Amino acid sequence: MNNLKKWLETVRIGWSMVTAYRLNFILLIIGPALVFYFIKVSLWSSIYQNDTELINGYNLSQMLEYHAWALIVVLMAQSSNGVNLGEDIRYGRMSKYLIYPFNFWEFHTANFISFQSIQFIISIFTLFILSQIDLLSLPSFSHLMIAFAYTSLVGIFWFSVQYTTGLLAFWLEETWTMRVMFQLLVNFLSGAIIPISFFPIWSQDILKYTPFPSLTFTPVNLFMGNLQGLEQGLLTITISILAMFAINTFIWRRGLRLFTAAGM
Amino acid sequence: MKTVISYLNIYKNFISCSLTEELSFRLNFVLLLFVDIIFTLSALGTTFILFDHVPTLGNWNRDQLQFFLVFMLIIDDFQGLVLSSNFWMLSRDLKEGNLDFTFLKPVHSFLPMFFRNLRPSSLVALIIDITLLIYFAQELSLSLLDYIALPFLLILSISLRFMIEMSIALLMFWTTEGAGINFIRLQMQSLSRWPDFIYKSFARRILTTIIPILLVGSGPLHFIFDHSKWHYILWLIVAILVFATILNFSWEKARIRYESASS
Repeated sequence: MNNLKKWLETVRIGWSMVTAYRLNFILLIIGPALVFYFIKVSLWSSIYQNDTELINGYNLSQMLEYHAWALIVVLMAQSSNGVNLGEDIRYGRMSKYLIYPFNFWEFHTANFISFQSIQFIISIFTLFILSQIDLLSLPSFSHLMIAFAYTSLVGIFWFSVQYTTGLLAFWLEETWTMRVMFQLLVNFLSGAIIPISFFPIWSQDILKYTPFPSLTFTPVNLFMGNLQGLEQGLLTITISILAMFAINTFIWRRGLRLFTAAGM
Repeated sequence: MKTVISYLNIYKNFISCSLTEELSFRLNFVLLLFVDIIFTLSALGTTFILFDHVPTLGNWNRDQLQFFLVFMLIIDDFQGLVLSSNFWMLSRDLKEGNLDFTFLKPVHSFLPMFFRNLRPSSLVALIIDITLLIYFAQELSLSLLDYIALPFLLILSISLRFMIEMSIALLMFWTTEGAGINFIRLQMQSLSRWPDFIYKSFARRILTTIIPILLVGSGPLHFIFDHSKWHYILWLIVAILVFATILNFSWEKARIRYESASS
């Protein structure tokens, strides 16, 4: 119970920290997702000659709906980053967590929860606007709940990857390179720009064995009412989260041996 | 002349320091290389997949779009090499009050503020992308005149990109936390990595006049593909002059606005 209080208090502080610099939050988190969406809408609108034209099974409305749902997935699950985490290690601020009764992992996970809850509200608000202007149609309630639950899992996986790249600050001078690399790969290989079904068959076969399609293509399809890839997506994401957890534990233990901070 | 030599000597030292610093962290250097390579591959990969399903994008075919993309990548590489790191440093320096030392130096503050930190790893990506540009130029059978014009067009595009981004960066003087301003720059770059004709008329008008970021790549390439569109080059030059004036004006305002973190 005492520990729950600490979690709730850290989540509350996390909210204050995120909303303290509101303009910065909009420019850092919401802005990139909206610009990315605007580019994709512009691109696909210029590709289609008319509303009835079919490209690889998608007409223009379906393609725009795909990208509208991709925006919701990005806002909900792929916005957190491990900047503070890496800096805590690099600048030696991590030492305080070694003596606090609330450890490093707990602090950053509580921060992730507070960030994710804000993102959830923003996603719902965006979803409402997009549905009002007919850019997407809502699936049945059960499909919507399944898709939200799945996307939350994607958010946990995303956080675990960000956590790992942050922990690499034990060895690396800069960790942003790892984050940018992962972001570039996800944008390209998860179907965020072009749906995976457009990829050559051989690359689709390879991607099946990676977590990438589960990060955008699968949740978007779930939101669009297509439950076909759910089992495989769930399996891939769950295995990936567990693998990342094991890797994080390993890196933390090895990294801690290297850690030196000012005053220690 | 004496001032130019003195500035060049300072810049030579900046290059030397940045190279030493970057090579001290070799793994970081390699990772930076990987970021650039993945960026190039994902940009080109996107066009390969796209053109498997559509014959053209606007009036452009696959070779033209890839030529455009590589042209933009060269601008990105050059900016990465010379300018980018300084924008992130500026945000930190403003917050921590380190800019006091920059203002005290007996040189124009732009030199240490925007050109102090170089990223030599981008040089490798720059060489790769120039090679790709020549390859795609051959695929398009460009004329000798086009080959001669290309370096000049690149200089014009880089100049406009630098002016726009430096003007945006100066907005940090008006904010408490500058990181968000850097993300405006990054979004501008993302918008300019696609040809201007993909955007609908209103957005295109804004992005070619008020914030002429689309002119950076689309302007020169429209001219290369169709010489009758020389007005794009004229437009590009006017945009550079306008943004040079805006930059100068904003700098005067920003200096007045600056409050030392230690005062």
